Amino acid sequence: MRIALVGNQNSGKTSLFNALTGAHQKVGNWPGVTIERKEGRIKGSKHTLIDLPGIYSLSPYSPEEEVSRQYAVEEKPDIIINIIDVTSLERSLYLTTQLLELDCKVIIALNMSDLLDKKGIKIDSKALEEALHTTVVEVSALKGTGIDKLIKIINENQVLDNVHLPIYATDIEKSIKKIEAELEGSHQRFVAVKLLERDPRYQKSATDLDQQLIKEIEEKYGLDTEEIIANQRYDFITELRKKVCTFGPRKVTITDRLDKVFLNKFAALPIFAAIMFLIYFLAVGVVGSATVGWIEELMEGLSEWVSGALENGGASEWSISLVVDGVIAGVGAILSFVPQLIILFLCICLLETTGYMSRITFFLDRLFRKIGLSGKALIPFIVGTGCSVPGVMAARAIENAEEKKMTVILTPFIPCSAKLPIIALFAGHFFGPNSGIVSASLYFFAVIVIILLAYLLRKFVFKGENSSYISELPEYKLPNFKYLFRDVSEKTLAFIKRAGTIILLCSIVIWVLLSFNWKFEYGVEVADSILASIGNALAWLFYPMIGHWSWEATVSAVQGLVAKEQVVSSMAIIAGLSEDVTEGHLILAEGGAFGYFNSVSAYAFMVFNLFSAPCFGALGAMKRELGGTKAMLKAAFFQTGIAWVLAILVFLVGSLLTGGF
Amino acid sequence: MSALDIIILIAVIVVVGLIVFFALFKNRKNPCRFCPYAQSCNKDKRESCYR
Repeated sequence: MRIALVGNQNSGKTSLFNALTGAHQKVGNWPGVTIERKEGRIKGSKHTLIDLPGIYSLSPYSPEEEVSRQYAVEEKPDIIINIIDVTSLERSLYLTTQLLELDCKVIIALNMSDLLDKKGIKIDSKALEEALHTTVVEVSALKGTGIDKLIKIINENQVLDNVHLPIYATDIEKSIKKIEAELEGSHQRFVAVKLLERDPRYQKSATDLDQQLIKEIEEKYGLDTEEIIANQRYDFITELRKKVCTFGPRKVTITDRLDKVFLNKFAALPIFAAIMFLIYFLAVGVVGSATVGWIEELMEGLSEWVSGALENGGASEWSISLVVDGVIAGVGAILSFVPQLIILFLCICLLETTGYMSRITFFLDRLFRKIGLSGKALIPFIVGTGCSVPGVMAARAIENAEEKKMTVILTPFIPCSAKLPIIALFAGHFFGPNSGIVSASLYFFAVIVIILLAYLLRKFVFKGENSSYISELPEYKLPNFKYLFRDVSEKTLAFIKRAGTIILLCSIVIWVLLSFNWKFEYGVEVADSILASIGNALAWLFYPMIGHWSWEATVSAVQGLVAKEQVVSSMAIIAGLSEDVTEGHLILAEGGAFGYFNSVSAYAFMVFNLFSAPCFGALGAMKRELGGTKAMLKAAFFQTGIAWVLAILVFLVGSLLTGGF
Repeated sequence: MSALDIIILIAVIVVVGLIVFFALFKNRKNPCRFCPYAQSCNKDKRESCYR
């Protein structure tokens, strides 16, 4: 059997999907986490479960809503599980009334019933089942209650037949019956209602009789049929709600209290700034300063041990250098940032799962609309703090093509986890106790640049109307620690995997390019190496932003195209080969290959790496979302151009302020 | 060139070869090959994802 999971946004569909299938799909306490359908197998059965993006009705307005409508209506699943957030029963039941018009069995899963007490509401699920003539099950996807009962009902096929409950006034029901009689195929009642509503998707099959019936109804009610049908659905729901719900005195919930603070007109933005600062302060400042020292010692010890072991084994100078200066220095430089990344991933995941992210999208939506971006653009920006690839992909949920393009171009500006090693390296070395503030300042710098560029792009390039964004604010929830652990470990392992694959590969290539000259002679001075000659050809581009002719910084920054972490890895290898073998980890040590950097040029270099074209992975995602290589290349040049100009400006202003000139 | 040098060289060539193969050729047509969340993804999601 194929079973579709359908419900409003943020009603807990993915949590229920995970509970029913044992999968680990990403969930989030904010709307729009699911933008594509996902498939899994229900535990202990052969039934396929399909998790669909959240929808409010079967008249979709956005691409991801269309995915859900198409599946539920056109692909005819055997059963639909309609997940309902009981804390917003009235709104959720609107979709239910439409689903019950399909030729499909429907199970209603009343989710989040554990939150009802706090709201002083009681729902009689038995009465609801009788009133709707369909199976109703109380579940808590988060706590896992009611899941076994739901699986049992599916496995034993105890689902009540859909009787196509009449919910409209008698004359409308009669009209529906007349239209149904003309139709062939499945979902006749649903299609009949859609024809009456003048849904554009069904207008091709509209007959004269349909037009006649619509005219009669509209004349009688003085409204258009779409409005009449919607009103009658809500009338039915209101009556139903009176029958099945009892309301006690509404208690002031923790959510109400917290929202008074987090959504306060004056306090919301400073609180958001403080939270982001705290995240970077913890990740780069506290954890960074505590862990960098001992990881450096560990890497130094490992390098010495491997070097000694290989020497004793009779290895040549070049093979020792390849392993120690190439592989260990390159990969080790990246792995030393893992503790900081764990903190970053943990904090971002906490903000997502508790419901705070929704508040941020709600609060910033007003500002974003003023500058020409939809509030939906905030979701890619938030996802982009982890990795630009899913961030860019999340822009797909934006229906307005111009806004989508802008979001795709601007999302890689958000500091992703791969940029953290660059920020942590420079901020930690040059700004010491203030490294947390400096790291957070880059985040806010990125936000300001995004706002300014969005305004300019909207005004001069992507002209057009702004789209609206409707979202809801979920309850604040305590994080699910099992999910938190899984999410953080998944992201951390993905980072380590990159270090063990793409960074390892690049480290070896860089070592080869540094150890040989164009005549392929080994052991040349690094200044005469292949890499140095490539870097020297491009160093003029970087001179204005770091105030130094540096092929080393040039080639490192260019490698950010492969993976942003590679910038640090490359610097570690160049510094190691330029100096004594065992001091390869001291990238920014005075007198070393990068010893000319100062706080101003370091900040400018970080700015360049923050805003320049993202890694190949993100470029690939940009290509898909922008619709072609040409558009992607244009965007990449635009990003790199912005990065170059900003880095030079930062260097010039910084040098003027610090008396560097 | 010692035996250990040859072993290191072969190991490096094999590792590089495997990484290049899996990154560029094995999944060449897989649009998700750079996506860090591809592991928890599935065929059906990919089809709808890159429609």
